[in-house]
Amino acid sequence: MSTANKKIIFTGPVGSGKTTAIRSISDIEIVTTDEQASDMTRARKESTTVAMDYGMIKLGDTERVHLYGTPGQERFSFMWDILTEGGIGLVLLIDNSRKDPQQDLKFYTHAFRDFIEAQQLVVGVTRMDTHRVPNVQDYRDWLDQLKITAPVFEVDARKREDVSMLMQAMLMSLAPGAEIL
Amino acid sequence: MIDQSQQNSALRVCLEDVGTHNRAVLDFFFAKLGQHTFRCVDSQVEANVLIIDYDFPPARQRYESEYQEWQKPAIILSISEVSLDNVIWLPKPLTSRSLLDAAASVRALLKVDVSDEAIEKLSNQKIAKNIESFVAEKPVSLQRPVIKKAEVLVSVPLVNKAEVVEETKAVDYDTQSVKQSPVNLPVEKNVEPSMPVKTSLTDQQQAQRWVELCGDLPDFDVSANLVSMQAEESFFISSVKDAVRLARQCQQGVLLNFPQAKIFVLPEIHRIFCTVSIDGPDFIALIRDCNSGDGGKMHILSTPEIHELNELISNQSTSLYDLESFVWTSALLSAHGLLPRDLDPNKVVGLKHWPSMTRVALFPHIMPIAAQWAAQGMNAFDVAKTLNVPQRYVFSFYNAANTLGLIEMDPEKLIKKQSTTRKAEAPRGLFSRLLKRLVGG
Repeated sequence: MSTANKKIIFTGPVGSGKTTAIRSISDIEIVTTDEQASDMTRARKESTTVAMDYGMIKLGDTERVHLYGTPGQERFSFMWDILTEGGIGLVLLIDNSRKDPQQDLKFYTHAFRDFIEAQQLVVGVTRMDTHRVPNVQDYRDWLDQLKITAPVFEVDARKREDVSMLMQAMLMSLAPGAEIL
Repeated sequence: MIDQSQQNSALRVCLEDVGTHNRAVLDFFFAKLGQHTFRCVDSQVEANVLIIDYDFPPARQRYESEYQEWQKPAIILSISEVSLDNVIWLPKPLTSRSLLDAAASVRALLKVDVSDEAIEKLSNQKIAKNIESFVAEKPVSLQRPVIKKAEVLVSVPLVNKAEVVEETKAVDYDTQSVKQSPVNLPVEKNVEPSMPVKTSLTDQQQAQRWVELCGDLPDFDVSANLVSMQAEESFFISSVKDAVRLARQCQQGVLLNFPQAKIFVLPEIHRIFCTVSIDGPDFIALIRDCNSGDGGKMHILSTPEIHELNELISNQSTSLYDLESFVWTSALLSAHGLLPRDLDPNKVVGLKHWPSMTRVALFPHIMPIAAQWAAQGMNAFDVAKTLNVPQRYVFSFYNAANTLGLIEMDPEKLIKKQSTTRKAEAPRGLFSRLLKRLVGG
């Protein structure tokens, strides 16, 4: 019996909630490669992902959807192409409390541009509960400027339903009218 | 050099109860384009016309108690129409043209001793030149403050100013006409309502909530009279839209006052504070019962009101709603599954942007409807048919998304959207199974 495998990529800057989001939705205890943060990242959190995070959603006995989280720091960007190969979509998480979320959005959409063109991007904005500006409409406007069409949702990465909605929007965008079997 | 005769003919204007923002706008106008038309003076005694901002909290009361006895014309700035003797109503947002027109009307009222010669000097040519230089110096329209990009808020479609003050009855769905119109009998579709998430409500409570949000009307025949599918926009939702618009334009908090509830629109934090829970029956009653006769007055928050609001928020933080979420729910509850008069279910439209699904009120099939409309332009009937879902959910989505300004109606943009196709073919079977899993099945 062969196993069908697909993958979904989670990306975004350091501290945007990638590891937490994957943990929220994964059927297995996630595999993470956190290390003590030793650079500027330390200002935002104690430990950070240095290689990748890994989680999984099992669909019956034969199907697996693998969830990969990229390391947030730019110096690990060489890994991004490898991770996205064969992926069905990209979940970009942006931390609204960071200094320049617009720049973050620009940076990641540029870095993953080819993948986004071929597949589907969804954007989750985290920490909006404490940082209300910029708002969701600002992100929509910025995506328009970048000529990218993608759903933008406010999310709490700790909430399964929020992460689930992002992924549903991604799948529905890829296959409008897909029935829920 | 300023012509002395023009200076003499300028209207001497005194600003009363004008908020900081509008005062700044007017000052700028007086210093530039309006410099020959108005001259700002410090006291009412010197002035021959008052400018009063009626949306500024104490202005209305003071007008009634003090200004009316003034016996000279007044220019009243207001979002809502004002018809009073000796008063020129200047609708907001202010424009240079409307200010100049108001000046002309005031002159007529005053019968100011301004000779035709003096007016001639302020020829159309000069006005045009002034406008050009004004625009060149400040390419932002008068009514719009210079705001940081990060503060730009949700684009909520505007409503006609006249609608604000119109005596609008609560929505009457005219059930009789609905019954008589040619409709398809409700067909039991063997499609389980697709809800993006499981909620904590019981099945019965959930079903009841969907009825509140989207009504329970059966599908209409596509050839049925549009009137049976549409309802007048309720006074509540038009008031909310106006309040949001006003708040966005001036980037200040706005209070929308109803006897049953106070609604504070706070554009800087993209929130609305409402003392009535939007998820409860009181909110439905508020939408149903409110009318222009006993509520719906709005004004920019005064300093004491801001203090009052801060206290309210600290005591009732659960009454603070996401702005889009509040407008979305209000639009749904106001329309009850019908469309506003300006939305045609036969018109091909698309979805510019998805609503923030994690924060807006959900109802069955919302996600497939959004995805379908985001992928291609279609009319509402075709969306319902393609997805095999009840029309009321499609109409509800159409109405609420349009209220938030998320619907694309420009045919050219829709054609462009249609032409962008995805390279890879989606594995629909896997997606369907994954979706079921995500929904909680």
